[in-house]
Amino acid sequence: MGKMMRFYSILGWLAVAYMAALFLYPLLKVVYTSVWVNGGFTLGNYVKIFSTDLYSKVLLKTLWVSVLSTLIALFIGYTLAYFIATRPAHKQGFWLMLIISPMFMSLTIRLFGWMILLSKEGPLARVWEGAFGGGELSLLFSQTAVVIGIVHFVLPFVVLNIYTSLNRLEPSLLEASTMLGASRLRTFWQITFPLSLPGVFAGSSIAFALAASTFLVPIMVGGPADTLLANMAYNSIVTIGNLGMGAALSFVLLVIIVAVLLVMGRLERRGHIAS
Amino acid sequence: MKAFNSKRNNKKGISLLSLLLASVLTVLAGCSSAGESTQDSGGQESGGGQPAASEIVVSTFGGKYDEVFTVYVKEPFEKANPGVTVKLAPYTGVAKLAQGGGASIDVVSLDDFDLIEAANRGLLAPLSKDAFSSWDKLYPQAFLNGTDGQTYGLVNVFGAWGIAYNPEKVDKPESWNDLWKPEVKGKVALMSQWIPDILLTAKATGATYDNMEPVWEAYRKITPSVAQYYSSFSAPESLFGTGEVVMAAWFDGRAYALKSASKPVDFTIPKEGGVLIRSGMGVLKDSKNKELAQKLIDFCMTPEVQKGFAQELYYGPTNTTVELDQELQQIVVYGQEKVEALITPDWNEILPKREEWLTKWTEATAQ
Repeated sequence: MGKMMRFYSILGWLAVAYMAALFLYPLLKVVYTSVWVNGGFTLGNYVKIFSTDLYSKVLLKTLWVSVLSTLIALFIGYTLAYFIATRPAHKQGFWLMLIISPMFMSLTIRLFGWMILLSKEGPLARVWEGAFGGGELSLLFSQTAVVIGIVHFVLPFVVLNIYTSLNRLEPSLLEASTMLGASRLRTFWQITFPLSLPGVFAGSSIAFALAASTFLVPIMVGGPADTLLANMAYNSIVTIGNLGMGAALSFVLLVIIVAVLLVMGRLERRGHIAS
Repeated sequence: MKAFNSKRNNKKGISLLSLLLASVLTVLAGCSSAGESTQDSGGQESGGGQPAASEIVVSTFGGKYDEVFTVYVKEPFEKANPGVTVKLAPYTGVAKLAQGGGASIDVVSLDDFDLIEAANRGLLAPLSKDAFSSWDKLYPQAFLNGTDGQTYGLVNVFGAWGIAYNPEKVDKPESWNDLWKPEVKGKVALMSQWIPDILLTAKATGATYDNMEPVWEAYRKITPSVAQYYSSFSAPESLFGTGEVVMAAWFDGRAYALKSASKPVDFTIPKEGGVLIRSGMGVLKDSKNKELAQKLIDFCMTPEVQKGFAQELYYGPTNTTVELDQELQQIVVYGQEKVEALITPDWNEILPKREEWLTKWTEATAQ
């Protein structure tokens, strides 16, 4: 037993070493790049981010788009997860596969699919025209398209997390609730939903982190004004060649995501205690 | 978890911690010394080209360009130089090169401004006239010089930046200002963070390098009616294909390739002029095979290769001795007159302003 323990703790420390070398070190390098400009220490890049209209606007837009996409993904994801969790056990695997299957394909290809769907001469626009006539429906290259793309991208992660906590639910609790005379709706809101909260928080943490750092979606389906923070960082490093500014933007984005995740983590733990 | 914590005594913790530290340090030391050693060997061997090292790695632009490059450059070059293998590497930009991402590459293909930027950052080796048989036959626009006046790259293909349009939906645009016309509102694409677009807008609005305000004003005005600021040269293909745009700032080669695939697209140079698009090749400073690298670039300047690029990709030749068919001559950038009619940006003057311009551009367009 003791030997096994030692084996596992060595393995654990190796994992820590791996993280330190391949995650912590590059991260520190990013911070270093953002404050060490032309051989001297400066907070200039950060001052510029928070004092320039442009950067604060993009920062707020990034947060807004990520929060909105996370909420939409949560709503759709919960419905899907609930649907799957209430199917007969032997059929659940099939539905889960269906949800995960898009992830086997590159996001670029899937976004090209959305470009066709949303374009002015695409199927959605045709249906719209047929139903309401007249006015041209133009969804592509807009914030709506970006939100649609992000929701599509993060949905499987949300569904899997919520499904896992719904699946762990004790059926006897639901039976007890029904036997004590609660309606199905009341059982859902008082028993099922509170008990699935850990999955909701875990799912939304992942969804938010992915949404806030998305880079490809705005480039492919976004309009002229839909640049998000990750795109700004990319442009600043690759097109403009200002490594310091790109690093500072990336770090600000990271700090915001971590702050949101910490709040989510606290909520999730509270959810655990409640259960 | 509890058992795990209580069993772990302090001594063991410290020894493990030191093990961790040691392993991290080893990894870091390994990284940095590896980096140094490659640089050292690069420095030592750069003097004389080694005939034994017979592989030459060239980064290219991918896609159809790679196919043409393989047929017209790689295969005949290998045939002409027995024992030499030409290996194509993915496109590698300046940011990556500056971070040591070009360690295994000998020859880089870059747009003119990136090549000059790389040269001014000290990443490239100057080219020597003696190593090139075609040096005196090239257009003056084919030489990419750094701020020090030395030549660091040769342009192997010319293109023209102008306006592509759908002739079934709109009239042939005459002026750059036609992109601002109300008829095409919401159906125009311009390129994101792209200096040639900025230069043509400057020309159309009468702005000067000292006062670029009219350009940003124009961008503020046009942005609401732009469908997309696209980020990759290939993006307009799908935009025209799905009918999402009817007019776009684009370059001749891609537009004519789409037209020859019988799509409703045509290309024109507005009356303000077009911008000469140049893609060049340079030798990395750390290449261990500089002689062969220059030989490969020289090979790309021969009429046979350049004719191939003109026929397959509608790129203009940079060698004055290339003869093209009458029909092709009309389309591609061909002949002194056509080359000189296009604006050749002075990148050594523009590059120092680039960060300011692109920041202003982003401010004007992120509304």
